[in-house]
Amino acid sequence: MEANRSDMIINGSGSFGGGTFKKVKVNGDATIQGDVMCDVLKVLGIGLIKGVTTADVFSVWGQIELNGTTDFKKASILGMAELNGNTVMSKAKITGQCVVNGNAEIEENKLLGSLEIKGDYKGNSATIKGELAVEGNVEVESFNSSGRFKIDGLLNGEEISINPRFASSFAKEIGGEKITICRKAEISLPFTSQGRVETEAIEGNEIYLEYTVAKVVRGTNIEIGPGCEIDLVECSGTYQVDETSVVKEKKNLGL
Amino acid sequence: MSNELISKKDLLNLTGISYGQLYRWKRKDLIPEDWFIRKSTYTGQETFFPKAEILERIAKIQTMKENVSLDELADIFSPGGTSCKLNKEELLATGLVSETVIQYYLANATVYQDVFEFNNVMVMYVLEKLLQSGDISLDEGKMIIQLFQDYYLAAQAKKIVLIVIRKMGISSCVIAEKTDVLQFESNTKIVANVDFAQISEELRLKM
Repeated sequence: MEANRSDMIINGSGSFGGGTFKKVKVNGDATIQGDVMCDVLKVLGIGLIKGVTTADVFSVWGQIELNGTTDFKKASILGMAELNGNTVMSKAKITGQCVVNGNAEIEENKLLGSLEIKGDYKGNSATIKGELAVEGNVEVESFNSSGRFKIDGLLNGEEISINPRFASSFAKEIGGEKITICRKAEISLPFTSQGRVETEAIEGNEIYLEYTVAKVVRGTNIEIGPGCEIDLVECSGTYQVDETSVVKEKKNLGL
Repeated sequence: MSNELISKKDLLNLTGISYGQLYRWKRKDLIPEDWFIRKSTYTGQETFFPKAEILERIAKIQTMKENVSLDELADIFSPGGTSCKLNKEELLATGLVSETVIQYYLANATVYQDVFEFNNVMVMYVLEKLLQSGDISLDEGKMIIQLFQDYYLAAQAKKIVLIVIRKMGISSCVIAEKTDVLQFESNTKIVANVDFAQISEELRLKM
């Protein structure tokens, strides 16, 4: 970027054009009509950017709506962000609430708050401790959840590890190399609901399941732990099942 | 191209790959999303693939993955532009397009560039094929160049086909999405039907 960029700090309320800045800080109530490109975009008040937004650091304490596509190196959302276009983030930490009305590519995602994606979600690692809702498919290398998720499409990952400790989760299909659904209680709290995972199909090489409801589980080595209800297991390697689980039918797959 | 389908289970049995590998390749975009065809069967939902295409693709991945990383493979299989740029000499050296076709392309393409991008090369490669085989005339070639000049950028990201038709000596050409169903009038002759995803893959392997 050019050297002679200035800061834009909005304290009152008003409407502005876009541009290239070092730092954009919204303290009041701002509407920005054009594209914004900056090093730091910090929102403490209320903001609306109508164009494309590109920032190295994006941090939201207040509330912001971004109408164009967005590209952030580092995003931290403590307030509320609504992204109406597709978004690319290298690193995201969401403690507040974030809605993406498009596709999201988030390389490294730490989710403590809530994230809602209307399209597909792609990335490298996802750590879910809050709540994730995706209407499309999820494709990540490592998926780690101890929160709640609802995925209407396929959850596809190299390593998927789900801990349904408090809340129940749903994915239409789960597929990957290693899938572990294991209810670990780090501290046993009274009055917390015990969660489960519901899905239509689970397919993977190494599968370990607890407290899972599934129509089909297919894979090489399958171990069914306590509390599962599975209609059909198709297995080509080792197979074990806990006595508290119900497996209606089991088939061997010759490979 | 046959429309025969193969179920996921049969596919894994036949090729010896695991679920993990299949899902990994899908994540890396080595297998396009629209090849996953979901159908309900008596055992519930099952996934099917177009048999001929998926078997060919898997065979290619299996032979190539020894030498090439998965990310590089993804580049080969993805349709549409890469950052490849060639000048005329370099292009001639690849032997993919003859000098006649390059001259012809330069004479008819309204935007002249010193360097050819992948898309230009792709159009020339298609022209080379069609002209060599005698499927189309030089005039029809001009029409194709013009069509791609006007519309290819818009259609770039999608999986497209080029169809050349002729009726009573009058010819025309269209760019359509691969999955579209096109219905032609009864006396129309389809002169050429070129799948650009396939061409792009072919080219990338040869370049």
